[in-house]
Amino acid sequence: MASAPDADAPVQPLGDEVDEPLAPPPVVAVVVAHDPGPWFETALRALAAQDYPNLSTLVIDAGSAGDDVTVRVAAVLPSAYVRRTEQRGFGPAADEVLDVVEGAAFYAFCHDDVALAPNAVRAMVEEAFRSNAGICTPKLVEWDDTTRLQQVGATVDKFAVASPFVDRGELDQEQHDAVADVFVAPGGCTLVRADLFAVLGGFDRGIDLVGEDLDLSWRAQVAGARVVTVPAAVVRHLQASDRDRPIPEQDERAVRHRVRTMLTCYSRSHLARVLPQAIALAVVEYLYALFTGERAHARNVVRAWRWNAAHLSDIRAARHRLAAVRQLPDSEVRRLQVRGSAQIARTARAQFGGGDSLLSGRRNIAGSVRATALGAPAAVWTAVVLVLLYGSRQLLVGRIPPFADLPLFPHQPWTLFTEWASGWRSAGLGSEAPAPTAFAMLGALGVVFLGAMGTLRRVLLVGLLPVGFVGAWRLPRAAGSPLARLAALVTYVVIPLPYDAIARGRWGGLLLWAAAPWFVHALATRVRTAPFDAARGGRRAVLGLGLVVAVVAAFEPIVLLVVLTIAVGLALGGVVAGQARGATRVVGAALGASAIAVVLHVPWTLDFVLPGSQWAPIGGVQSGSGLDLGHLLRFQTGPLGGGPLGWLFFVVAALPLVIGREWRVTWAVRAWVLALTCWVVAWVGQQPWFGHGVGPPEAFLAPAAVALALSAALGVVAFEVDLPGYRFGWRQAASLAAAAALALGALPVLGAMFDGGWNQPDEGFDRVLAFVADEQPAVGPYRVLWIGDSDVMPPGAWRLQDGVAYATTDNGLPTVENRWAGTSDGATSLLGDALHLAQRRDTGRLGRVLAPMGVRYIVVQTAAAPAGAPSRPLPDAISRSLGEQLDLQQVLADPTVQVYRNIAWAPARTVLGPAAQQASTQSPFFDVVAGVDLTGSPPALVEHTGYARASGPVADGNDVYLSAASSSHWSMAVDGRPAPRTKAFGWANSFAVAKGGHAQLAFDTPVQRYGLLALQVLLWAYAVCRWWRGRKDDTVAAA
Amino acid sequence: MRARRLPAVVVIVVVLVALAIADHRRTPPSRTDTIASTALMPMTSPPGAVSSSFYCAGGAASTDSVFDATVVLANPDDQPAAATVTAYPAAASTDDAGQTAVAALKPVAKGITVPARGRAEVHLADLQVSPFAAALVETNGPDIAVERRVAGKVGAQSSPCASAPSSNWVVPTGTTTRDAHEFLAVFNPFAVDAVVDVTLQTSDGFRSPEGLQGLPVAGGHLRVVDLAAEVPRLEHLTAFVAARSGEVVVDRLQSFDGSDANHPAGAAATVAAPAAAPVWLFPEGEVADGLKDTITIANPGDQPTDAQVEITLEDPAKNGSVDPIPATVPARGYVQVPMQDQTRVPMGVAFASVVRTLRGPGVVAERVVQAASPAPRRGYAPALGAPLVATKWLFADGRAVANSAAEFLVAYNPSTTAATLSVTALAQGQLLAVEGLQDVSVPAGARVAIELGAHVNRPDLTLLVSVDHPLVVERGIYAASGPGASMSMGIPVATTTAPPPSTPPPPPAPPSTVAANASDTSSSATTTTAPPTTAPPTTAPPPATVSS
Repeated sequence: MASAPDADAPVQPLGDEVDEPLAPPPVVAVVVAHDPGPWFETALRALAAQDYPNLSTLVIDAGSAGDDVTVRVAAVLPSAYVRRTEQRGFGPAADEVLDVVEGAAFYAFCHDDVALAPNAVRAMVEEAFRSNAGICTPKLVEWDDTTRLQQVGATVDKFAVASPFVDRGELDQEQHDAVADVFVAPGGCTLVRADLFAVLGGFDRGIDLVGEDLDLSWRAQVAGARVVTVPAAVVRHLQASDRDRPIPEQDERAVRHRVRTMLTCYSRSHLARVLPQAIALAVVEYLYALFTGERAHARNVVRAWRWNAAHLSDIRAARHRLAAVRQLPDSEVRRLQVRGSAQIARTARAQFGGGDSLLSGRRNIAGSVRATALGAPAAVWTAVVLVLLYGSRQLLVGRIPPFADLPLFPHQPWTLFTEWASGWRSAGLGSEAPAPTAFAMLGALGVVFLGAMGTLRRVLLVGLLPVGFVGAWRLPRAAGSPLARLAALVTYVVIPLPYDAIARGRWGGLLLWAAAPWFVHALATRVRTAPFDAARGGRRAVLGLGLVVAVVAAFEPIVLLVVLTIAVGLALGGVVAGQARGATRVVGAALGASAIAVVLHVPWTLDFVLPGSQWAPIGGVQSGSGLDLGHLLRFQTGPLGGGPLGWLFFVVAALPLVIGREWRVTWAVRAWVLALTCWVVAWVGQQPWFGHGVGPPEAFLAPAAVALALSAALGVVAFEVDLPGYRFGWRQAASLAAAAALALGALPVLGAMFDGGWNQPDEGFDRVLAFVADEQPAVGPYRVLWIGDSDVMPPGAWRLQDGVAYATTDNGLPTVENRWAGTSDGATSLLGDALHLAQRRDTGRLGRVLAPMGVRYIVVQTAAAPAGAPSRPLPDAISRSLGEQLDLQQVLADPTVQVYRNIAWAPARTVLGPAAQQASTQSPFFDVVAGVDLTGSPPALVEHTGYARASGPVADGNDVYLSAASSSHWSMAVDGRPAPRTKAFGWANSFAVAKGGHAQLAFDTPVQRYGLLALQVLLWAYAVCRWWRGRKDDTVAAA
Repeated sequence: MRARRLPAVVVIVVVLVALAIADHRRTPPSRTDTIASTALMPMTSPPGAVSSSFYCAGGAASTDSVFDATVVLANPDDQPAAATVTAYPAAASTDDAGQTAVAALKPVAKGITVPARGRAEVHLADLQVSPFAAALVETNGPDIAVERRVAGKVGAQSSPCASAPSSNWVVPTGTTTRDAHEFLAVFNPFAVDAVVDVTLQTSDGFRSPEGLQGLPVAGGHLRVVDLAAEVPRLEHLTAFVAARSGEVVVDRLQSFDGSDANHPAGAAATVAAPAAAPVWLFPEGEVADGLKDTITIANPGDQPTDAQVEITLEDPAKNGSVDPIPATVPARGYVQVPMQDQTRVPMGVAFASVVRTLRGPGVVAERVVQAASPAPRRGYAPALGAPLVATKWLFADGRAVANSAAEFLVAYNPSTTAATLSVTALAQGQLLAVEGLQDVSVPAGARVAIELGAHVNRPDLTLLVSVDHPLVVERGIYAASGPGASMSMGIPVATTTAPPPSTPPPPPAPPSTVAANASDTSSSATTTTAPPTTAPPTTAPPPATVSS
């Protein structure tokens, strides 16, 4: 270890080996002082104690506030010269020597906060001669602890980013005690040959503070001089700028001066190569700084380049001066530079090895890593974002095919508003059921997106991924460990649920996945035990949760059951963990939130609770190809998640169970029981004996995934807190195994990102089935009846039988408007009854039966997309029953989709012939329909004038038939004269036209419906305002 | 915390294990088409049907043909029923001139009204003349039964039309010898095109004629395949028709011109079997001099089937009982059981037979009766067995006219419960309880044969047989002179059907047993590689009669 220099120690004579001392070259120690602190006397005494015989001292007072510098110098070092100058920074002040000093061989430029060991000047001078060096730099050590290194030279990369050879504070074990060429002689104390200094013109006058050392060293090397480090010369450096005397805008100066140096020192050809790279790196640095919250540094980057742009003339002049003395090409100069980017290298070291940081400056990431562990999150988040962006690139810029639960959106948001406000729902054969609130929400979002409904659709798909990620990141925030939050984030990211949902077109599942971490967090805080014991605002929190549940429920009503299941899981977990406290509170919160959501969706929710309601609109139709337990436990709801790697999440999440203590293990048990509860519900939902759908698979698997992510986070906390309390043994191995499992578990997702669209099919059926929609203008309005496994159908479908659902569309292909079907109670159930008739062979003329319903096409889907989607075969009875109909013509036979055209069809608005008119007066429908042939009926009222509105000419004596559920609110007027309405076939509408003319057909929404909708809007406004006000109150209370 | 950790971990593990066990035990949902799998034979529509269809695929619309077809509709309801009969013209695949003539024809439909408790007939040649024709009968009335009668110079034959299409059909028997013609009528009345493959298991081995693979049958068309054009002259063919796409109805049209002494003259158009079944019942059976009774068991499955033919002799107290005849039916093959070769089957004693699978997939069983001199009747009468029992049977066609035609009903009760049978005639809007045929007892495990001529004398005899316990009823119509024999099961009313008992009824204690002995060389069925032999003629027995 190097000996500790002491400024107060007696001067040691030179070695006895010099018999006849030569006349030593004159050295002038140039001390630039500016309002020096109490350390100044120590620094002066150290100079006084130098054993170099021909040393003079020049103290330059760079704009200190008073005259005390002169006094203080005189008191300690009376032989020193003192010169006052303006406050222009270290470099410009030091340059005064060029004017006031003559005959010096060397200048020893010193800060006022350094204390040289007695032999320091001598050692540097000797080494300057020995190495023929132009600049010598000593070993800088900490002021208070000379065993800790501060600087022993440094190098830079091609962008002038310095990279010190030692980490500040590194223990001095003589590991750097060798004379070596360095690129930068750090400031503090630098010995410079006087002639070199004169040739270089001194320090760059454009660099006042920070970075002048790099600039001088670089230019010296351009001029052919060596820069060497002299470890034998030890100098204590206080770095007063870090403590008592901060440098204004130090970070900004550091950036702009290194850019200036880079722009100055390169030759023109070299600069042409480096400058674009430097600009690109600056952009990255700027974005990185923004992303990591270092807005000040981001600002500094911009200002640095702007400052240099403003000083181009100065830079050009400096370049000319340097060109005049250039002795070495840049290729030679760069031999001592590091390759690549020191910033990137250091960032990597900082994130993964805890080394230095990307960002220079006083508050760098390295410090953040040590202090707040912000560096690792930044790196992980960067990786997550990169994976997200790269893996979703096709979804971001390419075409998102319409399939399954990713239907097309209408071209205008007003369409959705209109449907929401109307008292008529067109789903199935129509009904007066209230419209889903989601119509209004999507319409509002469409307005926000300025009508760019395609963009809205894209955002609603891809944007859910970061929502889920952030939710997982926030979940274990209360645990107080950034690494734990990272563990939760990474675990949730690599569990394949969202990617499988995208691949299978389950937007609703993706939505529930995104919402699940927020639900779990909100309910976990209701438990109010450590670490979730800092929650405030009980009612407001429930209200907030209720609002979120309501938003999600607008799109996936099953969320009400999901939230309750989460609450029950957490409560059960508490019981199993022996800490039942908070169980009733969490269940009560879930019930309260669900109740709020139900109330906020009135009148839509009335459709779910009034007589005739069905389960399918809430939980969907159970798929015929249910997932087995292995799939559920591994979250394999799509192409990802299979194989042994899918089980690794168990290993990750099991860690806190075995190493955790206190609340770590308690919450780990809660998380596991929550996961088990969700798995059980999800499993039950897949069982044929259950017979009911429980939403998309992600509905209950997402909370299970959240639970595993939470458990993984708790494992990290236990690793940090509990593991040190154990003796070395299997627990440490378990921790390593968990980490390795998480890394391995990420491989499938990392592999899947190369697809660019998470294995989503390239095409939907929209192009194959375009003809289904295109014929409408030519032949009149009609319906399309869709049949398929619920896994390949849009959610707005009704149950036909186990594993089979059916739905209708009015405009050909499904759109988002068809996503919420409501109940099929009423006329719509006739569709299912008709299909059942065909299956039972109770009719051979299904087309004739469906004709009064306006069904022209029947589309049977056995896959969600033409290619790239798994086959979901239907029971044999489906294809058999359609194939043996006398009036269904198969017009498309594809392995994944079959289309039958009803050759006995009639338009949804038509004119009935006499026989049909006579028959239509009878009921029940199925007793009459077999004897009625509507083939060839002409379309009527073909002008679509709005939602639930149509018009067109009608002739005298015609009876206009409207294939929609009978309602007294349907009205038709012919040239202003009302046409009497009667019920047709026991369920539809018929209007008798006595005298022809131009007819207007419309559904008149009852005033009560408008009142209910207004009430709904008021309820939402009230809830949001109440929540917002409570949030402000909480903020004030917290303050 | 250790104390809490362990129980929690145990709970978690136990729940996971319980889930795994429960998941392991779950059974996948059945995707079997139960409707199709139970549609084993023609039957009436169920009460909830809004419409019903019958498909008479095989027949001719020409008075010159031996298959000149007439569709007979019976309506037991008390309301008249509207019906539409549509005739689809066709020509045999080998009849170029006929094909050309038919190409210009289109299906012709005729609306008719079937009177309440009555019947109606439509002679297809009256709608449109064509070498062959299929008939689609559509009606909205419940319980309508439709039969097709083919008549020609070799006699008349009546059999039910199919009430449902299928994608698989089995034709257990057929002959393409020089004296015979066999056609397969593949009828696709639907709007969806069908493509079928026809494979044959013959007395000469398995055949998959190239011309019968991927055979397109356009929607709304009948395709008549002349098997003689595709295979050599063969004594036996079992045909398997499988639709790659679409649904079809398959009938077999078989005729013999009488030039071969082994094949009495006759013609029949009968529907093929749409599905295999575990049990097939044949109420009628008898061997005598000139009277051959051969049961063919076809196995459309991919696994061999162990089956047996159980024989119930009439009046077992007098005639005793016989052991079942075992038969192993190879996959995609057939086995024939010539009763006349079975020494255990006494000559001149009527019997009922049951083909029952013991192990393996279901089979299709068809019985072919060939009667020639010195038997009192003459003709060729194939009939599929009944895979179902029912309490109501309809016979749309029938004639019991003295010195012209004799009609018999034979009921077999395969259960262990005695049944009581009543016969009602549908006559001009009246339900006539046939005198002497009310409350006829059918003992358990026994058969009863009724000669209708002894009770009623009508040329248009439409019958409804009602039973208080499900059994099977077969009808036989025989020409008094000349060739003409027709045997077929009735058409059960849909709501009254049931599967037959899966186990044979215990035989009544017989005074004596005719058991197989060591010298009985034909104690088991012959296989595909061994054509059936003809038993030496024995004394012709009289037709079975009922003793009331």
